[in-house]
Formats: sequence, C-alpha cells, structure tokens
Amino acid sequence: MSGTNDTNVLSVRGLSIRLATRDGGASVVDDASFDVGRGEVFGIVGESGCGKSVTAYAIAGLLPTPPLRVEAGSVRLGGRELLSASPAEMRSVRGRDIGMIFQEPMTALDPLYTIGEQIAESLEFHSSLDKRAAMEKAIAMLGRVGIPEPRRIAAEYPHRLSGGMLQRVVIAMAMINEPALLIADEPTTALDVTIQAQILALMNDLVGANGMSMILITHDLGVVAETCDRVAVFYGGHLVESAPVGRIFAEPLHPYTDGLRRSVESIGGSGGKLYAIPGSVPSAGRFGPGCRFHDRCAARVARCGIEAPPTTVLPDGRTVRCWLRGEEA
Amino acid sequence: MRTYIVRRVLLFIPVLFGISLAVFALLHMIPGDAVDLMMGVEANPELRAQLLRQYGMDYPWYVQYWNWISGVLRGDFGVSMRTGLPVLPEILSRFKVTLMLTLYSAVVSWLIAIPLGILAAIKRNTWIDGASRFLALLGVSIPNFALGTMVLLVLSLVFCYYPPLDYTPFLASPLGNLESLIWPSLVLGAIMAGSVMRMTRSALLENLQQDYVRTVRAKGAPERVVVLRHALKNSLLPIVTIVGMQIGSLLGGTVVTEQIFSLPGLGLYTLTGITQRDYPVVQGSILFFAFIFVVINLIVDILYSRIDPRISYR
Repeated sequence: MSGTNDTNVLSVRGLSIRLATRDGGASVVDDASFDVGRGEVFGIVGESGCGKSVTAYAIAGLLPTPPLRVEAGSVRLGGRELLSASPAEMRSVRGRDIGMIFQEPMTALDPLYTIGEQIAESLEFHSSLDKRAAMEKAIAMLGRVGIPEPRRIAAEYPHRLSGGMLQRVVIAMAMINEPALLIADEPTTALDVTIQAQILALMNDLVGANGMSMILITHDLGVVAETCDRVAVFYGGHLVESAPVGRIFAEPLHPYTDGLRRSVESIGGSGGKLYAIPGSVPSAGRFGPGCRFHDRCAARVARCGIEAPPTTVLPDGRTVRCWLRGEEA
Repeated sequence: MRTYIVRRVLLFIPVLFGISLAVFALLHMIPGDAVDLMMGVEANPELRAQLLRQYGMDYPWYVQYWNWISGVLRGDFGVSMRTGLPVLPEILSRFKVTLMLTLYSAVVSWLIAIPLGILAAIKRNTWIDGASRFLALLGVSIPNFALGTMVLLVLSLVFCYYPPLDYTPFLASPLGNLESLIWPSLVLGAIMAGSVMRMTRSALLENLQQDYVRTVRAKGAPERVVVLRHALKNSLLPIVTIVGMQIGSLLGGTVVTEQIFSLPGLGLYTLTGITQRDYPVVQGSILFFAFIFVVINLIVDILYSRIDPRISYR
C-alpha cells in the first residue's frame, strides 16, 4: 500500500465506523484502508451488511449520525481531509467533487419535481449559472446519458419513466458537475438484467471519457470482473483483501475470496453441485476478538479465533488480512 | 381536469338531495314540533290546528318536503317560524362572519403549526421537539370554551382590555373587523394548530427518511433546501387533508366560540334553530353546511393534483 501520492484521487486510512445501539454499539467497519487512483474503477464487493455501503456513505459524509458514526481514520480526497471538514465544506464537496449513484432509481428522485429541475438543481448548488442555462446544460447531459428526446424527458416527472431510464437520469445528475470521483452503490441491482449491462457500459464510457475515478459497490463478482481495475473484498466489516481484478480471480489470497471465486466458478461449470461457503455471516456486534471469518474458514489455525490479523501489504501492492498470508510475507 | 370538475359538481346533486332528505326526516322524527314548543302542551286544540295549517304542517310529510325542497331549488329557503325573517339572507350574512373567523383562525394555526412542526422534526428528540409536542398536545386537549373563557378573563382582568361585543363587518372597517375577530381566531387557531403541527412533524420525519432526500443531500444541497423545497413539499398532502377537514368543520360554525365572543355566526343561528324546532332554519343551515363541505372536499382534491403530479383526474 503506497502512501498518498499524486496519482490517487481518494485515500482512505484506518477507517472505523461504529453503530450505536442500546447495548453499547457494534463495529460496522474496522480499520479499512484503500486508495483509488486517478481514472481507476475501484470495486468494493461483499455480502449484505459487510460494511461496503457504509464505507461509501462515510466518504461522502452522508452517514446517518446517529446511529452510525466514524470512530477513527482518515479520508483524503485530492489531498484534502474530509472527515474533519465542516458540514458546509462537505456540502460543497458533495455533488461537485463526489457524485453519487444509488441502488433504487425508482425512489432516488423527488416525485414532485421534473427530471430537468432535479438535474439542474445539482448545478444550482455549485455554479452561478442562471436557471435557463442550468436547464439547457441538464438537457444536454440527458442526451449524453443516452436518453432519447432529452428536451421532452426533462419536462417529465419521475413516475413517467422506467427504472433503467431513471438510473440514466441519476447518472446524469451525479456527473453534471464533472466530479473527480463517482461513487456508485449497487447501481444495477434493482434493474432488469437486460438493462444492467447497458447501465454498466454507460457508466464505464462516461467515467473513461471524462478521466474520472469510480468506486463501484456491488455484491456481483461478474460486474466486478467486467468493469473494475482493482477490487477490495469486505467481510463482516473487515477489508480482507484488495488486488487488481485479474489477480483476485487468478490467485486469491484470502480464504473468503477463494470461497467467493469457487462459488462463482461452480455456477459457470456444468453438472456439478454449486459450491457454497459453509455457515452464514455473523451480524455486526457479534464478532469475537479474532478474524471475523475464522468460524467459516477451512484453513483456520488456533490463533485465528483469538486475535484479529493485521493487514499485510505484499510487495506488488496487494493487501490481505489473514494470519496465514501475513506470516508468508 | 375540467371534465373532472364538472362531473364532481354534478355529483353534488345526489349528495345534497340525500342530505336534505335525511335532515328533513330526522327533524320530523324528533318528538315535539315547533308549535308544541310555542304553545306548550296545554294548548287550545283549535289554535294549534290553525298554527299547523299556517306553517303548512298539516300536510303529509312528503308534501311538506316537496314544498320545502321546491322552494330551495328556486332559491327560497323559507322563513323562520320564530322571527318570520327569510332564512337564506340570514344564513348568508352570518356565513360572512363565520368565513372571516375561519380564515383568520386558519392563518393563525398555520403560522403556529408549520414552523413548529418543521422545527420539531429537524430538532427531533431535543427539548425543542419536546416543547413543541407538549404545546400540540395542549392544543388538541384544551376545549375551546375553556381557552376562550381564559383569554377573555386574562384580557379583561389583567390587561383591562375588553374585546368589542358587537361585530364589525370587514367592508365597514377592516381594522374593526380584525379587532372583533382576532381573539376568537387566536383561540380557534391555537386549537387547530395542535393537530396540524403533529401532522407536519410526522409527515416531515417520514419524508426525511426517504431515498430522494439522500439524493438531494448527495447533490450538496443545504439543509434549508432539503427540508423546505423537498421534504416539506412532499409532506403537504396530509397537511392539506387535515386543514381541509378543519376548515370544513369551522365553516359549519363554532357555536361555543361564537357564543363566548358574541359573534353573529352560523353556529349560533343553527343551534337556536334546533332548540326551537325552527324547521326552515335548521334544514336550511344544515343543507348549507353540507354544500360547503362538498365544495371544500372538491377544493382539497384539486389541490392534491396541483401538488403531486402523480395524481391526475380524468
């Protein structure tokens, strides 16, 4: 893991997030560190509740506080610390430097305003364009995300559009200020399978054409394989492994990543039984002191249940959080 | 939209017809009629028969109903059996008072309830929220006769101020009109504010949890825009519903408040009519309330479609 340098747009260090509950609270994300390079598509994968979305919201300063709270760590965007920024500073970052795309396009837009008004609103907070110029820019942006008849659609209300169209609108909204970083939280999960590929391709094209970076949060390894340059795997609030996408499938370092890979491969293969990782994810707050995966891990040793492994950085920049690998390195 | 309104207005006809029948039937089923009340039980039967004939009450009920309703259709609501004055002009002139009182009260209640509701929602679970909710609870629990009497007592005993005992029409003197209506409006407005404030708070809290609010925040919107432009506008439907119902019932007259502040409003007129079994007065007023209610309902429904583009009428 290299330190913050010019090629990194985003640098997250030691990020820990806690959930306040009546019985003391639970660790939702523990000591996560990763970098997103300029022009890079960075995937975050994991199961529901593993802390991947919470990490994204913490970066954008959108954590619902309370109950969730950043406990420790650093988030630097273009060299600027975000976790200590004031609410007003974070408002100027959101929408201008960080664009966000959400999982549910059907509920992500205000039903009472037109598509055009809602896209132009992003400009209102970050530029001095007058209303008409903002609307013209919004219409042009709708065209760029592949919406036919953008002028007519801009005057429509959200309930008149399909989920796929609405997700294009949300993408237009997130990109209109040309942010350096785009955070997409499960952007295709709620869409029809046939639309998913279109939306992914659109996001990839736009990100590439504008030299933006993107964090793509998903639970779909297929999406990761198709779109991402590098990927971080979360399990139970631990970032267990990060590596270039080619390496993570070819040579997984963490037993959990290996399990994920095998469950995907067994779907592709013919005949045989589906592979599944035994057991289920413990809920946040139920984690013991050791590695959070140890009770489902086939390769565990005595130490795994007692002490959480530190993150090990391999010479090629890959990271892994596992006792077995840590000793090899 | 226009055809929808026309259709709704046409629907008024069966509704009002049904209500006129119901009122007529109810009134005539109550034991004791206007003549009994005028003459006492030991009346001379001949005189009684003469009075019954004079008021047209010696006909079968359906003929009486027809006589009344055919007059109503021509705009003649009949005359009061007690005062001999025509009913419709009386209702209309009293309605002006009630209308002004309702409008002032509604404005008072919005001025109190909407800001307090917003404040309570965004400062949820703080002392501000607690205090606003306590005030709202007071508003919905204090009977208006108690609050009205207290206001009068405090004004006269503490401030040595005596609210005017006669009503000044708006056109005669807007300021005098305000003076005669301000105290009853404060009383009614404070009481209405309770439920409007609670509705504003809960609708706003619900909307602030919605996904679209997160999107607005992700655009870098200031909290003011998040709350006022987005969450509050989305909360307007339930608020408009409750305000519509309140205005509807206020326009029907607020007997107690009118009595305390001696306002010549509709409520008092109707109540007196009922105690005296003054058939034309009661029937006319109730039919008029019903008309006001259906009109308010139509206005509320039209407002819905103005606020929310997903609601459209055909």
